[in-house]
Amino acid sequence: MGELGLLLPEVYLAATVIGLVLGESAHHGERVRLVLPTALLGIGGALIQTILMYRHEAALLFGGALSLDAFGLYFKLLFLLLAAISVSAVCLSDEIERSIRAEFCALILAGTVALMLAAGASNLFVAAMALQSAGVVGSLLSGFGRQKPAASEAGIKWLAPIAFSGACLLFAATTLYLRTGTADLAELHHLLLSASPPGKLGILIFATIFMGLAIPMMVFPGNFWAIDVVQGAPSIAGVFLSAGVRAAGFAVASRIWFALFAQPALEPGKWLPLGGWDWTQWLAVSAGLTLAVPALLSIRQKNAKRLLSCVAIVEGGFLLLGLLVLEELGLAAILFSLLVGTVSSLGALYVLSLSTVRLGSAEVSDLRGALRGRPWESVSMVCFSASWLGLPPFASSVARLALLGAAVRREWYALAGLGLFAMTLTAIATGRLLLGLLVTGPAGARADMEGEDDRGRKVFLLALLLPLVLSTFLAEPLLRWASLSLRFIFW
Amino acid sequence: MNTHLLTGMIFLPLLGAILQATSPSARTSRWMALGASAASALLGGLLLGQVSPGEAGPQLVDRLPWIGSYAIHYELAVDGTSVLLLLLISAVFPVLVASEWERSSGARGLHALLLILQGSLIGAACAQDLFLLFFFWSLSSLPIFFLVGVWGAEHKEQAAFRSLVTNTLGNTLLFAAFVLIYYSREPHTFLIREIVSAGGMPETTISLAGLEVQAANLAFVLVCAGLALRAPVWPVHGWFYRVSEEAPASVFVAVGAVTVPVAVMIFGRLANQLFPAVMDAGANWVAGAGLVNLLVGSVAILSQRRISGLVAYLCVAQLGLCLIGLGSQDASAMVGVIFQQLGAGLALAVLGLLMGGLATRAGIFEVLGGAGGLSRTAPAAAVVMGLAIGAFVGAPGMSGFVGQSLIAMGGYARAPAVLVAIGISSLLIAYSLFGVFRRLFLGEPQTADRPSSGELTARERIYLIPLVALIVILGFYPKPFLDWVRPTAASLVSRPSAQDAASPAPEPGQESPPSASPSPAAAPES
Repeated sequence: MGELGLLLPEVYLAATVIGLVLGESAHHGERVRLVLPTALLGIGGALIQTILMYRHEAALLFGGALSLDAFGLYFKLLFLLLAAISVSAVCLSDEIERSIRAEFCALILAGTVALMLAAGASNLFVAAMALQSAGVVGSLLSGFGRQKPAASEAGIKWLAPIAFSGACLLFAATTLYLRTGTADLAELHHLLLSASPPGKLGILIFATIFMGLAIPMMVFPGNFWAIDVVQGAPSIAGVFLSAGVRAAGFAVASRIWFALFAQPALEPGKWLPLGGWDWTQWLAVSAGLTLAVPALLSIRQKNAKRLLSCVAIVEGGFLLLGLLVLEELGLAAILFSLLVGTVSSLGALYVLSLSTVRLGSAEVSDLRGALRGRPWESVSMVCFSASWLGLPPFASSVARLALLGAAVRREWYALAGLGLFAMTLTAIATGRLLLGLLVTGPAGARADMEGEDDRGRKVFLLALLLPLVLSTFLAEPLLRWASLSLRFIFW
Repeated sequence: MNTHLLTGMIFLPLLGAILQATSPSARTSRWMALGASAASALLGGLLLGQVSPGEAGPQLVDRLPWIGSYAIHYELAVDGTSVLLLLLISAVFPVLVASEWERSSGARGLHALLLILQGSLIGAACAQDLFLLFFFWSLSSLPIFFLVGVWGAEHKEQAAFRSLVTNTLGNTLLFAAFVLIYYSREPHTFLIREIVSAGGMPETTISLAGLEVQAANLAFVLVCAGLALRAPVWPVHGWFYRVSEEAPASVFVAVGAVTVPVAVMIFGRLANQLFPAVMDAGANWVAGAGLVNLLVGSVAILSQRRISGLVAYLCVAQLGLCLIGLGSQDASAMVGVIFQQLGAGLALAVLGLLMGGLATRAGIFEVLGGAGGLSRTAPAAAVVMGLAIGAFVGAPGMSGFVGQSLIAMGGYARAPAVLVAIGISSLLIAYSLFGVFRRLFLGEPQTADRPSSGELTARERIYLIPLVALIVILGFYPKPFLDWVRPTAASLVSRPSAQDAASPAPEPGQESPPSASPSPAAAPES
C-alpha cells in the first residue's frame, strides 16, 4: 500500500463513484434505488479513514505533491460533511429528477475527491489541477436541473472563469518552477526566505495567483460569476460551488500565501509579508469590495437565490479578513467559519429549493407565503439564515467576531466597519425575504401546498439543525480543533 | 453563591418554546407555554428572595467559561439595576402568554416567540459579559420582528421591516462598540467586572481616516446610538410607533413595557461602569435627549386619534423621563429611574392589554371613535384603566408617584429647569389620559355599533389583577424595592476619587472584589 494507503479516503470515494455509475448502468429504471445508501456508505467509509489518518505523523506524499497534515485533514472532513449533506439533500428534494440523481450524486462525490486533493496539495501544479477538476465538476453539476436553459447557462458561466483561474495558477506555477526548479511549497518557502523574487516578478506572481484563487474563493474581482451561477444552477450545485469549491480555494490560498509570500514574525502565531512590499493591502481592498458590493446588491435582489448568493459572497469577504491579518487566530477563525457556514448555507438553500420546486419560481414575489403552515421548514429557514448571517444565538456569531476582531487587531478599522455594514445590509435583505416567505401572499392561501408531509425531510432538517445549535455551546472545542489544525504552517 | 436560578429563568422559557411547539394537542401546548413562562417567573420569585438588599455588587453569580479563545464567559448575575427588571419580566410575560390564550391560528408560533423573548430579555438584563449581553440582546430582536410581521395587522410587513432595519442597525452598532471595548484593553476581555476594576475603558486613541479618536468616546457614542435605535428615542422612534399600530397588544406590551426598560437599564449600567469619564462629560446631552423625548412624547399624545399611538407616545415620554434621570447623575434620580422602569412597565402592560382587549372585543380603536359610557357596561375595565392612568400621571399611592418624584428630585439637583419640564409634561399627560378616560368611559353608553360591552373577561381579571395589585403595592410600600436598588444606584453614579484611581488594578485573572457598598448616607432614603 505505502503512500497510497494514506490516500484511502479519496480511494474510498472514487470506488463509490464507480459503484454508483455501475449500479445506475445496470439497474437503471428500477423503483427501489440505492443511490443514497451507497453514497452515504462510501462517504462514511472515507470519513472513518480520514479520522484514522490523525494517527499518522505529518508527512509529504508522492515526492511532495501531497501533504498529510492536520490542516488537510480538517478540510477533508469538512468536504466529506458537505458531500454527505449534499447527497442527502439531493435525494430528499425534488429539484433533481429521480432519473438523474445517481449521476448527480456521483458527480458530487467525484468533486469531493478533487476538493480533498486540493486540501492536501503541497505542490503548485497539483493544487491548480485539483482546483480545476473540482471546478469542472462544479460546472457539470450546475448544468443539471429542471430549468435546463438557466442551468446550462450557469454551467458555462462557471466554466469560463474557472478555466481562467486555472490558467493563472499554472502560469504562476510555471514561472516559479522555471526560476527555482521546484513547485513544491515547502521547498519554495525555504528558497524564497533566503532570496525572495525581485519586486516586479514577485508582484506578477502574486497577482496571477491571487486572480487564480479569487475565482474559486468568490472574492473580488473573481466573484462576478457567482450570482448568475447560483441563480441558474440547482441549489445543491450552488452550495457545492459556494461552500465546497470556495473552502478548497481558501485551503489552497492559506498554504500558498503563507509559503510563498509570508515569513514568521518574532511574535509566535504571527507572520509578516515576505519581500519588500505589503501585499496584504491588495487583499484589504479585495475584502472591502467583496463585503460592500454584494451587500449593496442584496438589497435590490428580487430573486431569492440571487439574494442568498450575495450573502455567500459577503461571507467570502469576511473569510478574506481572516487571511489578510496573517495571524494564527485569523486562520483558525476561517476554518471555524467554513465549518459552520457550510451547514448553514446548505440548509438555507435546501429549504429554499423545496419552495422553489413547489412553486416553480425563485422570485421573491412568487415565494410569498411559501412557508406558511410549514413550521419545520419555517423554523429551519430562520435558523439557517440567521446562522449564515452570523447572528446570535449561533456559533457563526463567534466566527464573525473572530474575523472582525482580526481586522480590528491589525487596526483595519475601515474594513471592520465595512464588515459590520455588510452584515447589517444582508441581515435586512434576508429578513425581508424571510418575512415574505412566512406571511400570506397576495395570491391567497396556497391550498395546493398544504398537507405535504415528509418524515425524511424533517429528520434531515433536524440532523442539520442540531449540530448548528450545539456548535454554539461547543464553539470553544471547535475553535481549538481549528487552531490545532494549523500545524502545517510549521514548515 | 452559584444557584443557577438565573440560568433556569433563561432556559426554562426557551425549553418551553420547543416543547410546546412540538406538543400534539393545542390545549396542552398552551398550558405548556404558560407553564414554562410561569415556572421562569417562579424562579424569579425565589431569586428575589435571595437577593441581599444591602449589596451593591453582582449577586447570585452564575459563572462558566464559554469560549476561552476569545475570553468569552457565560456569566450572569443580579444587582440593583436588574433586580426590578427581573420582577417586571416575571410579572408581565406569563400575563402576555395568557392574553394570547384564545388565538386560533399560529398560537404555538406566537407563544414560542414570546417565550424566546422572555428568556433573551432575562439574559440581556443579567449578563455580566459584553458578548453574552450582545448575544441575548440581539437574540431578542428576532422574535419581535417575526411577532410583528406574522401576527400583526394590515400593514404588518411595513412595521416589521422598519423594526428589522432599526433593530439590526442598533445591534450592529452595539456589536461594534463591544468589539472596540474588547480590543482596547490588554489582555482582551468582555467581562464587565474586569473592565470596571480597571477603571472603565482605557484612554486609548484610534486612527480613523487620519483622525485621532478617543476609543472610549467612540464606543460610548456607538452604545448610545445602538441602544437609542432599539429604544424609541426621538427622532428614531418611527418604527416603534408603527409597531404600536400594527402589532398585537401582547407584542406591543412586550416591546414597550419590557424591551425598552431593558435597553434603558443596559445603557445606564454600561455608560456609568465602562465610560464613567465620558458619561460625566456627556451627562447633559443624555439629559437633553431625555428632555426632548419627554416634551415630544407629551405633546404628541395630545394629537393622537388612535389609542395605540397614544400609548406609544406615552412610552416615548416615559423614556424621556428616565433619560433625564440617567443624565442627572444623581443617586436618587438613578434609584427613581430603576424604580420607574418597573412602575411604568407594569402600568403600560395593564394599559396596553386593556386597550388591546377593547379593540378586539368592542372594536374601539379611536380616542374619538364614538365610544362612551363604558364605565356602566364595563365597570371593572374602568377601574383598571383608572388605576393604570393614575400610575402614569404619578398619582400618590401609585408606582409612578415614587419613581417620578425621585427623578424630579435628582433632576432638580442638577438643573432646576428640569423640574419645570417634568411638571409641564405631567400636566399634558394627565390632561390627555383623563381626556381619553372621559371620552371612553364616562357619559352616556353608546353601544349601538359595538359588538360587546368591552368588560373584562374572567381570564383578563385573573391576569390583570396581580399587575394592578403590584402597581398599588409599589405606590404604597416601595421601601423593600428601593432597598434592593439603592446601593447599586449609588455606586453607579459615585466616581472614585483621585486616590482610588491611583491604586493599582488587580492582576489579570484575579477575582475582582465586589463593588464597595456605598455608605448609607450616600444613598438617599426615599
